[in-house]
Amino acid sequence: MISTTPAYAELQVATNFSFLRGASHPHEYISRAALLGLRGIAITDFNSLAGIVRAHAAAKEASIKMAVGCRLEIDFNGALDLSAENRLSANERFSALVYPTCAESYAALCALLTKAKSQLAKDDLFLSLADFLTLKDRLLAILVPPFFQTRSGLNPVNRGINSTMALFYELCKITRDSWRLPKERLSIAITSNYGHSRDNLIQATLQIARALDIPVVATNDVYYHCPTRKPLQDLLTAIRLKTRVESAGYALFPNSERYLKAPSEMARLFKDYPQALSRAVEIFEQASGFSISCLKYSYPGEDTPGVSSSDRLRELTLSGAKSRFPGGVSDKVLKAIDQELELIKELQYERYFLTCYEIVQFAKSREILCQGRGAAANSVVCFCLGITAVNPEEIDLLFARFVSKERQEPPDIDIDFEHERREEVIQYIYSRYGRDHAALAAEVVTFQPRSAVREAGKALGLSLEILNILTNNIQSWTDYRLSADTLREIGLNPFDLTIQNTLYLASELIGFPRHISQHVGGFIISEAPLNTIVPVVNATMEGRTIIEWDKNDIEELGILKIDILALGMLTCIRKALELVNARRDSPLRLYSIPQNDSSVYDMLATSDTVGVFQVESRAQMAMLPRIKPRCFYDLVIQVAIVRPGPIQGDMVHPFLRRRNGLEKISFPDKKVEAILGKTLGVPIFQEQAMRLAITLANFSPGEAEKLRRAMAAWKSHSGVIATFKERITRGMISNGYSAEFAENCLNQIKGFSEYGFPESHAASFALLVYASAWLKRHYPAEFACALLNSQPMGFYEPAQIVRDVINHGIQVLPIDVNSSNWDCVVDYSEDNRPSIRLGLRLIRGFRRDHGEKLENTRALHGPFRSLSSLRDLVPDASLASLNTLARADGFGSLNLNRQDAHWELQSLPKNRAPLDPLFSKRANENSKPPDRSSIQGEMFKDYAATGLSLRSHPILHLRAGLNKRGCLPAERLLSKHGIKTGSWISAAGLVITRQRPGTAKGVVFITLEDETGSFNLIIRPRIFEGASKLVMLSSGLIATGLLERIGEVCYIDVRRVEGL
Amino acid sequence: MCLSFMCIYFPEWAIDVTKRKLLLKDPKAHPPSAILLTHRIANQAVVARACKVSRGLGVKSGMAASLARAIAPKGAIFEPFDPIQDASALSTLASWCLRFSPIVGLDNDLRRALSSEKNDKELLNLDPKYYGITIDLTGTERLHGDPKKLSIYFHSLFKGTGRVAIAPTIAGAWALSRYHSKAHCYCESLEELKLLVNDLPARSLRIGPELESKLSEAGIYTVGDLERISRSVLSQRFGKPLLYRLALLNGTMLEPIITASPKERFVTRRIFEPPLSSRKSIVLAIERLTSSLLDLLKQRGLSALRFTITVKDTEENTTVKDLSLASAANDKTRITPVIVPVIESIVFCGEAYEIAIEALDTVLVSPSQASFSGDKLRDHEAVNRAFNDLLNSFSLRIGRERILRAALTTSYIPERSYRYDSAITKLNSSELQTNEASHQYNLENIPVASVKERPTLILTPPEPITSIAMLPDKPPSWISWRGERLNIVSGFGPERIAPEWWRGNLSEQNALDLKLAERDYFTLQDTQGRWLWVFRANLNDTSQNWFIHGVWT
Repeated sequence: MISTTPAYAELQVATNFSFLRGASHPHEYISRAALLGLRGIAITDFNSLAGIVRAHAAAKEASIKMAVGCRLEIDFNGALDLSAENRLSANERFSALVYPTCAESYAALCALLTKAKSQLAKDDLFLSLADFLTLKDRLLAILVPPFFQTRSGLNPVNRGINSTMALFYELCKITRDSWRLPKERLSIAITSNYGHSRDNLIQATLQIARALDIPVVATNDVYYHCPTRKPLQDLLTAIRLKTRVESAGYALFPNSERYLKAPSEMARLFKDYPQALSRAVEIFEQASGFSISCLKYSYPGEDTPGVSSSDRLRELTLSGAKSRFPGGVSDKVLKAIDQELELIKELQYERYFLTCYEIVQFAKSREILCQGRGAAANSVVCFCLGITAVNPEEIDLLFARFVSKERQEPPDIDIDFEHERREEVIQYIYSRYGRDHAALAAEVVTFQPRSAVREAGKALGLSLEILNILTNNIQSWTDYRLSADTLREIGLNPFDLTIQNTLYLASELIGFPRHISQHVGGFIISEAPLNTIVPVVNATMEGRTIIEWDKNDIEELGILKIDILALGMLTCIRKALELVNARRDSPLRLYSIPQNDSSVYDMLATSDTVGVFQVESRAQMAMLPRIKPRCFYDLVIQVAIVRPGPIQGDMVHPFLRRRNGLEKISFPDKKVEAILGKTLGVPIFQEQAMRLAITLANFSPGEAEKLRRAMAAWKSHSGVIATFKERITRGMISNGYSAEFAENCLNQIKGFSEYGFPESHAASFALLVYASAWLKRHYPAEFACALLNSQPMGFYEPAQIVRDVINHGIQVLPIDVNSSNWDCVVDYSEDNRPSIRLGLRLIRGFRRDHGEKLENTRALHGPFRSLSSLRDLVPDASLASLNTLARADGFGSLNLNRQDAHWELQSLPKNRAPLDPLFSKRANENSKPPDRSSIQGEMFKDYAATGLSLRSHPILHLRAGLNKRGCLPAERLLSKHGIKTGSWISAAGLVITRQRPGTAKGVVFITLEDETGSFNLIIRPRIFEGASKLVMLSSGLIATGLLERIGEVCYIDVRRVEGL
Repeated sequence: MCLSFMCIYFPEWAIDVTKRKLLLKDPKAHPPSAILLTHRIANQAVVARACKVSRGLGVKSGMAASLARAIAPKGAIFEPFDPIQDASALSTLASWCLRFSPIVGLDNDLRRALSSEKNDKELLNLDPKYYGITIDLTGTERLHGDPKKLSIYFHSLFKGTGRVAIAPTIAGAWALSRYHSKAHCYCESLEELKLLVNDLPARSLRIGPELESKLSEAGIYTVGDLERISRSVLSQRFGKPLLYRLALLNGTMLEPIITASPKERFVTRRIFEPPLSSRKSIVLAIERLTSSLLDLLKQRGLSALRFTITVKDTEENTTVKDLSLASAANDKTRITPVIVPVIESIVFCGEAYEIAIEALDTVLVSPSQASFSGDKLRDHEAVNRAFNDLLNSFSLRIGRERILRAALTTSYIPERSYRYDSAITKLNSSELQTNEASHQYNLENIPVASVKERPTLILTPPEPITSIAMLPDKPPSWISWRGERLNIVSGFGPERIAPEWWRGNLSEQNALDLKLAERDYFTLQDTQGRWLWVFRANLNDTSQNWFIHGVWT
C-alpha cells in the first residue's frame, strides 16, 4: 500500500515570519513534515527570507530536506496599465513562488529583495513586474493564481473568477515569454483547499497552463502546520487588518484546510492530476540543491599585503603581552597564547580578532573608553590586544567558551563604549568597511505575554479597560495562564468566553515574531556585498541598515558578529577621570587605578554605593552588607549573584549561609570541589554549569555549549531541555553521584537559565564596579560631578546623587548665570576642598547651544553685571531661555531672586529693538509686586525647574507635625543604639525608588528619604492590596510597622501606610 | 443709570445634565453614587468631568478611565462626555432666562467655541469655568425688585447647582461667580466690586494660562496685586491684553452679550371654551390643527419626522401621543392615514379644553423635479415613498419594533450571513447608517459578498435528510427529503466551511473537534432541474449526517 502512495514535497509554506499571516513556527513545520514523511518542504515566506535560517537549523536536526524559497507579491497594476476601476485590489495580489538553485541565483534574489525593500514603505511590499522578471535567468518559479473566498472574487468591482483568471493568464503569458527555459523552470500552482469554487478554479488554471504550455504543480498553500491552528491564523489576520475577528468576515479563510498535508492526503486530492504531484517533487529536488549552508561567507581581507594575518596577530599579541606583563611574561601565559593562537589559526578567525583590535585602537585614538567582554573576549589574546582588561591569570577561563572546534560557531566578543560616543564608533565601522559590507543584525521582536494578551484581546473584542486589568496582573500568571480564582480576584468573570479565548490564544501567540527591529549593536561585516547573502533593509533609525536575520540565526550560519554596545558608566568614568587628572601630575587611567584598596571595600560593605556601577540597585545594596566583599573576586560574585536568575534558583541564601559560616561547605568529591570550590559549592556562573556537565555527566565541550544555549531559552523550548535534563541525570548517576545531587544541580542551573551571568562578563563588570567605587571613595566630588554630566544613566535621579554627595560633606553650589557652565564642574577652594557647581544642563528645557554661548561670552567679557548687559552681550540668548534660567533661580550673582529676575526679564524689550536709554528709568520700582515667596514654594519651583533643590529637605518643614504623630527621623532608625529591631515604629519620607520585581511575588520595595537619611519599606501583598493606589502614586509616605535592621540598612516591614 | 449684570455659573454643568438625563430615563432609579464623564484621546478613555464625590476621592479630569474606575466608589456611572449636548442644554436654559431680561447670553467664550467650525474639538478643550450664562439686568429693578434678593432667588432656583453674582460689569460678575467664596453675591457699585475682587486670583480676569504663569513668576497672584502696579508698567511688561481685561473689570470698557435666540418651534394649539366633550368634535379639532400645522411647515419648506399630539382635559389629565414616520413628510395625504389611527387610540377621560400638535425633527424638503413619465410606480422616488407609507401603516398596526429588514453580513456560515435590522430606524437615520456601514464593511482588505453566493431560500434550521455519498468528496447520488426521494443528476462541491470558533470556548481538547465540526456543502440538481443546497456535518462521522440547508427558488 505504502509504496503506491506517490511522494510529495510541499512548496508553498508561510511561516510566522510572514508576519501576522503564518501561524506556525518554522521548526513546527519541519518536524511535522518529517513526521508525515514528506519528501521535503520549502519555506516561502511573503517577500522575506527571515525565517529560513530557523527552518534550516531545524531541518538539519530532523534530517529532512528543506528548500529555500520566497513568495513574491507582484504589482500587476503598473504592468498592465489597468483603468482605475479595473485595478486589482489589495487582496487580489498575484504572487509567485521563487526558489534559488545555486548560490548565484540566491544572491540575485537577496539583491532583488534588498532593492525592493529600500524603495517601498515597510508594510505594503509589491514587487513591480519588471523587477520580478529580472529573475528570469536564474530562479525556479511557480505562479500562484489568486484565491477565491466567494464566487464574485474578492475585488470591489466584482470581477468574478473568469475575468480575474484572464488577468492571471496575462501574467503567466508575460512571464513565460521572458523566462529562460520556461518549460523547465516555470510552473503554475493548483491547490485544492475546499474553497468556494474549487473545481472551477482548478479547471481554469489547467486551461491556462495548457494554453501556455506550462506544467502545473500541486501545492497546498500552507499557513499552519496542523488544523488546530486555524483560530490563531484567523486571529493574526484580524490583527493584521486592525479589525475584530468577528467582523473580519471573508478576509478569513473559510475552513482549516491550510495545514501541512500528508502525501496520502495530497494523492487523494490530486488523484486526477498525478503529473502535478510529480512536478512538485521534481521542483523540490532542484530547489533543494541549494541550501544556505552553501553560502560562502567570508570575513573581509587583510589590508597589509605580504604580511599574513596570523603573523600580524601573533606579532601584536606578543608585543601587547610585553606591555601587559611588565614583570615578564610567564611561561603559563606564553603557553596559553600559543594554544589560543593555534586554535584561532585553525579556525581562521585571525581577521576577526584583528578587526576587534582595530576598533578598539580607533576608540583609544579618539579617547573613547571601551571594554570588551563576552566569552571570546576573556582570552589571553584579547587581554594582550587590549580588548579586555580582565587578567586571565586571575580568573580561570573555560577554554571551550572561548571558541570551540567542534561546533562551527563564531567567537563572541562584545565591546562596551561610552554611551554618548558610540555613534562615532558605528560610523567608523561603516566607513571602514563600506555600507555594502557592514550592517547591523536584526532583532526579531516577538510577542511577549503582555503584547500577546493585548493584541489577542483587542481582536476578540475585549475592552481596553479589561485588557488593562489583565496585563497589569500579568505577574500573577503561572505559565501564562490565569486560574479561575485569580481571575475572580481581579474582578473578571472566569467563565467569560472572550476572556478565556483571549488567554488561550495569547498563550499560543507568545513567542511568535511580530516584526524585525534593530539589534542593540551587533555588527556584521562581510567580504562579499552583504545583500548577496541576506536581504538588507533600512532600519527605522536614519543612516542604519540591518540584515533580515536575527543574531541567533547569524550564529547558526557561522557569520561573525561584533557587538558594539553603549554603557553609560564608561562615559561617567571617563568624565570623572578627566576631572581628576586635571589636577594630578601623573594621569590616572581606568586600568591603573590602585587595586585592592581596603577603604573601597569598607565603603561597599556599608552599602554607600549611590552611583556605583551595578551595585547601586536596591537589591544589590541590601546584599552588600551581607556578602561584605573584601577582594576583587568577591565583587565578581556579587555582580553575578544578585540577579533575578540566581535569586529564583535559590542560590543566594545557601551562598550567604556558607559564606557566613552557618552552613558547612562540603563536596561529593574532589572533581566537584575543583569546579565549585571558589563559589563555596554553589554554582553561580554559566561556566560552572557547563563544567559540571562536562566533568560529571560526560558532556563534550561542544555539547556543554549547546546546553548553555538551551539554558538561555529555558522557557521557550521545554522539549530540548527535557532531553538535556535526562542526559545530565543519567550521566551523573552513571558517574556515581546520587540522583538527589543531580536534581539539586539541575534546579540550580535552571534558576539562572534566563538571566545567568557568565563569569567572564561578571569579571568585566566587576572591574567597572571597582573603578567607580574607587572614584567615589577617593574623589566623591569629581565622581558625582561626572555622574551628573552623564545623565540619563544608572539608577538614581540627579536629586539623589546631589543629596548623596552633600551627605559626604561636599558642598554643592546652585546654578548661576555667572558661574555655571553647561556641564557641572568641580571648583576647588584655596585649601583644595572640592565643591560642585551645578551646570545648566540640569535645567529642564534649556538649550545646549544657548548654554555654551553664555559660557563663551562670559569667558570673553567677564561676568555679567546686570540683566541688560547679559542681554546685550548674548544677543542670541532668547528671552525664553533667560526665562528658563530665571525659573531655575539662576540669577543669584546678580542679586536677583527668582521673582525679581522674572520681573526684570519682563521689562526687557520683547524683540531686540535698539535699546531706549530712557527706557529703564521709566520703570517704576515702587510698583514692584511684594515678595511673598515661601521656602516651600521656592523648593517646589526648584524641583519643577531642575528636579532637585539645594534648599533644606522638604521633610524638614513637616518635621514638627511629624513629631507630633510620632514619626521618627531616619537617623534614629539607623543608629545602632537607638531602637531595637522588631520595634513598632512610624517614619515618613519622600519616595525615592519604588520597585515591584516579578521575582518578589508581589512584594513592593520602596526607599524613603527624609532630611536625615534614607530607609526602606517592604510592603507585602496583603498591605499593598488595600493601599495600592497610595503606594504606587504618592510622592511621600508615612509608614508604620516593624523595624528590621541588617547591617547598615534598615527596613520597615510595613503594616500601615498613609500619604504624606 | 447704574449698569448691572448677572453671571450664573454651573460648576458641574455636564454632570448635572447627565444626572437629569439618567433621571428622565428611569425616574425611579436610585441616584448613582458618582458620575464620571469620559472621552477618548488617542485610543485611551480619559476622564473629562468628574462629580464632586469622585473628585474628593482623587479622580481628576485627564486621568485614564481605567484608573478612575479603580478609585471611584462602587456604583459609579461612566457616561460618554458630550460637550455639544451640554452646551446646547445650557443655551436652552439661556433662552428660558429670557423671561427675566431681554438680553441673555451664553458665556462669550463658550458661545464662540460652540459656533466655531470645529466645535467638538474646541468644546473638548474648553475650561468648564466657561459654562455659564450672562444676563443684563440693567433697568429691570422695577420688574424684579431688590437685585440683592434676585441673586438669592436665582441661587435657590437652581437648587444650589449654580453660583450667581450680580455686579456692575460683566467681568466683575464673571469673576465673582467663579471665584468668590460665596455661592451668590451682589455688589452694587464699582467701589464695592474693587474690594470684592481684591483677593481673587489673577486668573479670574479670564487671562490665559500662559499669562497667568508669567504673572505668578513675577510674584503677582491676585487681582489686588495687579491693581497696585501702575498701568504703564503692566502694559510694558505683560502687554496690552492684560490691560484690556482690567478695563473690562473696571467698567472702562464694555463687552457685548450676544442674546440667545430661542429655538423655533412648530406648534398649533387651541384652547376650547367651552371644552369639547364629544369625540367627534375632538377628532375634527385635531384634524384642523394638523392641517394648519402642515400649512405652516409647507410655508417654511420643511417636513417633519415626528409629531406629538397633546390633549389636556378638564380633569387635569394630559395625554401625549408620539408619532414617528418612516420618512419626513408635510403632505396631508400621507399624514392622515397615519394620524387617524393614533387619534382613534386616544382614550378621553373627560372634556378636552386644550389640544396642541407639534412637529419635531423638522428637515428641509429638498426640491426635486417631478417625473415626466406619469407612471408613478416607475418613479424611484415614488416607489420609495409608497414603500415608506406602507412601513408607516405597518408600524402603526403591529409596532415599529416588529418591522424588520434583512441585511447581509460577512460570514461564511449561512445562518449568519444575514441579520435582521429594524426597518424604520434604518430609514430614519439613513445617513447615520451609511456611515456605520462603511466603517463596518469598507475596511480596505475585507471583501463583501454578493447575494448570488447563497440560495434564495435558507431553511432555518437545516432539515435532516437521508443520503449517502459513495466517495468522501463526491456529491450524493440521491437524497430523501420530507419523505420524497430525489435523484441527483449533477452537483458541485464540496465547499468546506468551518464553524465560527469565537462563539465557543477554545481549548486544547476541543481544537480537534472544531476541525471535525466543519461542514461540506454541495450544490445539487435533481431530475426536475431544481437546485438544492445540502451539507454533510461532522466529517469524521461514518454515519453520514446529511442536512438540506437551502433551495434556489
